[in-house]
Amino acid sequence: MKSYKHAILFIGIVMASIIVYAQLFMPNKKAFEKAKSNQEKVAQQKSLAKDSLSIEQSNLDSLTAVRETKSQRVEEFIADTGLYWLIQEIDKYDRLAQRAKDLQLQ
Amino acid sequence: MSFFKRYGLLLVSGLLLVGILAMVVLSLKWKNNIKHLNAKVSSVSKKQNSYIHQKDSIDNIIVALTDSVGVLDSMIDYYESLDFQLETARSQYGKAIYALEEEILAGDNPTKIMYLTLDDGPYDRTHDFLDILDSCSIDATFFVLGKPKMKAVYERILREGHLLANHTYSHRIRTGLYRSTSSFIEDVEKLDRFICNEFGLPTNNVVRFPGGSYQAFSLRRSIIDSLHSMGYRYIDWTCSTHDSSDSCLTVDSAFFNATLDCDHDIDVLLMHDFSKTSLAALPRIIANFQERNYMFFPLVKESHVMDR
Repeated sequence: MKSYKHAILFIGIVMASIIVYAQLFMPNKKAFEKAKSNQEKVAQQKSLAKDSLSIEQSNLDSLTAVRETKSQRVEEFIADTGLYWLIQEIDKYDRLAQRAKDLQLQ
Repeated sequence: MSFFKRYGLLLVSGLLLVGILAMVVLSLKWKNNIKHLNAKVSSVSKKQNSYIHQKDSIDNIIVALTDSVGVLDSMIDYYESLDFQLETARSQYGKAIYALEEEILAGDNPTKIMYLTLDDGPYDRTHDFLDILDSCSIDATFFVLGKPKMKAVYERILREGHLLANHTYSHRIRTGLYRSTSSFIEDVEKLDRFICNEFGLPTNNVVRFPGGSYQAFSLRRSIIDSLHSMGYRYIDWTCSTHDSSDSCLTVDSAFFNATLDCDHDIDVLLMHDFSKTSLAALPRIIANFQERNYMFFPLVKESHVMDR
């Protein structure tokens, strides 16, 4: 009778240990929920990163278009021979004005 | 009781085993699900990292592009300001000449001013005039006509520091230029358009009537008023080599014509690009004026000699 009680006690301890171990260390629904919540969080972050990327991409596109327009404008200016003559003419008038000023006594 | 004693322990052990097995099976199932989720998380994280990496790259490109757009903006601002800069530089020259002339006319400055003007060009011979002007470091005013085939000569005039002024596009004195005020004004505007189309420049807003302002006879006042309303001034001359009126002109007489008539504080000398005689006399004429303390300048509409 005494060994029977010991056996029941032993089995009870083993069962309790297994249940505690299982609750603490073995994968279960709670761990799954945690992983799922983590996955949702990461998915949300990914979605934010994707949105942010598409905004940046759109900024890049518009900036590229602006740059293209401005480059064309600069190329037009550079191709315009009048630009060369304008600069020459400005230098010429500056030089002449300086010469006239140098001759002034007052 | 004896049955329980005999099989109870076995039964409890069996139930315990079944429970443990069930827990293990459930755990494996959860483990599998969690593994699957973690794989998803890992894949999503990789994508997220890839997006972040791409965004960083785009950010760098945007920074470089913004810098480049800034440079382009400053270039455009500079190019767009050139017209204004030209107007300012011209105005500064006008003011400086006006102030210098004021001193000279008041007798406070012993310098004299000579505005050397060459009419009716450009011709091929204009190059020879330019060579002499270049060797003497003289700046002159070329009252040009519209001659599309002579583009290289206009370019050389501009490049070597001289100014282009308006002598009408066609110079057709006997074929309708002075028929009406509007025909004259149209010819003036046509030359300005020509210079502007070829070189992107305005002329210096100084006009000389072909043959002189008195060639316009009764239209003279009306044309002058129209020119003034358009922002132009006109100029005749105070002395000339007479290279267009005297077919027997010699180099000596061209020299004397130019130098004897010019004895004012501010003079405007007229000669023509086509004249071989004026070309030959030019070095002596320049030397003579330089000895007499004349300084050579190109004409500007602020000068006191305008509208005379």
